[in-house]
Amino acid sequence: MNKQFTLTDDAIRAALTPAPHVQAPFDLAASIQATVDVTPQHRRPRVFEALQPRVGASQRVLVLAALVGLLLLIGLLLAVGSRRPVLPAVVSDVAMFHGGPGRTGVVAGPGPVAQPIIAWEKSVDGPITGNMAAIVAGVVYVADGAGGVEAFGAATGDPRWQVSLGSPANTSPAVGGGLVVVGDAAGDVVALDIRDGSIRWRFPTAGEVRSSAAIVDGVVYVGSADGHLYALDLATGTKRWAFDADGAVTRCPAVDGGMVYIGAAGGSFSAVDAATGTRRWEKALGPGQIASPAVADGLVVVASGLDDATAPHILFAFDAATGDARWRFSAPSGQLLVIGALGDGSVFAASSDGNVYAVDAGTGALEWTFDGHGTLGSVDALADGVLYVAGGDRAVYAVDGRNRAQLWRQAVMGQPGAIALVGDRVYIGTDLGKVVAIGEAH
Amino acid sequence: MLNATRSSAIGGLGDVALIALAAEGDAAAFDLVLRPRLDRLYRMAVAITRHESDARDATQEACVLAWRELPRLRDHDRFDPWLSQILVNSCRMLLRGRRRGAIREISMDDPLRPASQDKPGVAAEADGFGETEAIRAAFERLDPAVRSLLVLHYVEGRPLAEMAKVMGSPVGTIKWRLSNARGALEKALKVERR
Repeated sequence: MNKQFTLTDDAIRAALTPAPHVQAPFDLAASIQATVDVTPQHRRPRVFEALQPRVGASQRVLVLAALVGLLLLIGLLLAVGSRRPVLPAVVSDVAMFHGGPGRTGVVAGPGPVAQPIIAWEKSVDGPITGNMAAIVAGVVYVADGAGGVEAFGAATGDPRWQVSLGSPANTSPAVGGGLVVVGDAAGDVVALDIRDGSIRWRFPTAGEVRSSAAIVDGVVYVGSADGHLYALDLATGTKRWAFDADGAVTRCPAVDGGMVYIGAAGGSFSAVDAATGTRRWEKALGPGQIASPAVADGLVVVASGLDDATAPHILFAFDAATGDARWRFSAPSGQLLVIGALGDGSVFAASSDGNVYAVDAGTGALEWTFDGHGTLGSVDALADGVLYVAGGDRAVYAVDGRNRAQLWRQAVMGQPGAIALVGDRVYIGTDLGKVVAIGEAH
Repeated sequence: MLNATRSSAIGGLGDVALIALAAEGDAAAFDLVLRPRLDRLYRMAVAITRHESDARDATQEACVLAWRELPRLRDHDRFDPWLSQILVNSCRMLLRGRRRGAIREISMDDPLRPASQDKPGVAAEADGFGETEAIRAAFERLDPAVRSLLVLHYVEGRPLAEMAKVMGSPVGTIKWRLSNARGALEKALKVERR
């Protein structure tokens, strides 16, 4: 059925020209302008502008050489004369869900406290629901519900790479050892090269992987709906051990002090030896699914009753080493609770009753309540006493945890997932497939 | 609000004056420079990337980069080819970063469907065996730089001299590369027909 066809200019033109109604999206100009407003221009150093009309190229080279020499001399004098140790630069990264393997949500501050603006916004192919971006060394990594994994420059949102896994990737990426680790609906744990997104290894499981991985000391800890928690070698993806969690694992493991804490559908909550995969202790907190725990300072906190409207919704605190019960807390409304942050002596949890609750980490007593506006959002980051909350009303909030004052509210396009805070910016994905950076105007 | 006030104050200025103001750091002037050009830029990005959200990202990226680098543009008369050059580079960078799996399926109501398919009389003859679809699929197989050349020539209708400015190469080189680009499209088309 090969009809002879000559490739003419008209045929190429007709094929490649977009339809007449294709026009710039209505909000593109505003979006560009918002970014322009916070983007400084590159200007030639004033010294050159001043010299330009009066001196020739050779003279400018001489001036430049003199300046370089002067800078070198100053540097030498500082290096020789100073006795103060050189402090390492403060690197504040969010390498995995809730900042680190303990899932405490506590990150280096200060975050934005004055009313911020949208610094940049990018589109991805699928929705980002409930998951968090990872930000490492100035690059933002996200996974989306269409199976895309994307990397953007954190400063301006410039796209670095994008790959399609071919199956929805509803996990928060975890970054370590030069790799980005995500899970997909096909049941694979996938490690991609941080530089270009090329796939370095895949580990197949027998159920969907919605559990966001934790990376600690060269080992990936991740759960699967096949009912197992897996420990995988970060470099190769080979299995070190698999732990039978007594139910589908759809939330994240927390890792601290050589222990991995993981919940499963049906209510089993286990502490597992990170080296061997053997169970140290177990609690039955069912019915319903167990949320992602948070662990710090010998205390592990976890919420029960997810994915089951009839189950009681309780926040439990246990001794991390022994599993001894410390306290339990329920919202006055009795509705669902999800832990967002564990720090500053408190546990911060969002509830489907629309409130954010601060609970004393030592006693479980209610400290204060903040109206989180609408349906369940999430508290995801705590920096310098300020909580960063994804509201249920398509907005992100900053709340001062010390006086419960709302510092700011920023509307975004779509329902925000979990918030990642790095430096003075927060990064979120939304269910409308947007990746948004929010920061203070400078 | 400040921008709106500023925009009305400088709204009567000509293009050259607005570009000069934008180069001095006037964001409202840059907005006025950009708005009448935005549709053309976006359509060019759509033609190169064949993907609307990519086109949006590339256009935004290019415009913000243009703002950042504008003070370094010595000859403001070259603004348009310079902006096109930035957009082409943004599209190329974006496409290089992309590793889309299968070729994207385009439904009948896809906005990227070419103009010819809205006017059956124009392309029906060439399109009898889905040749338009095949050309587009072949195009998506091409290197981003080759795509850009084909779009500038066939879609934008840019003269060779202007293409040379946009691509930063001599006219003779552009002529040669354009011939190669067309050859690459024909080769990719043969692969599509198999």
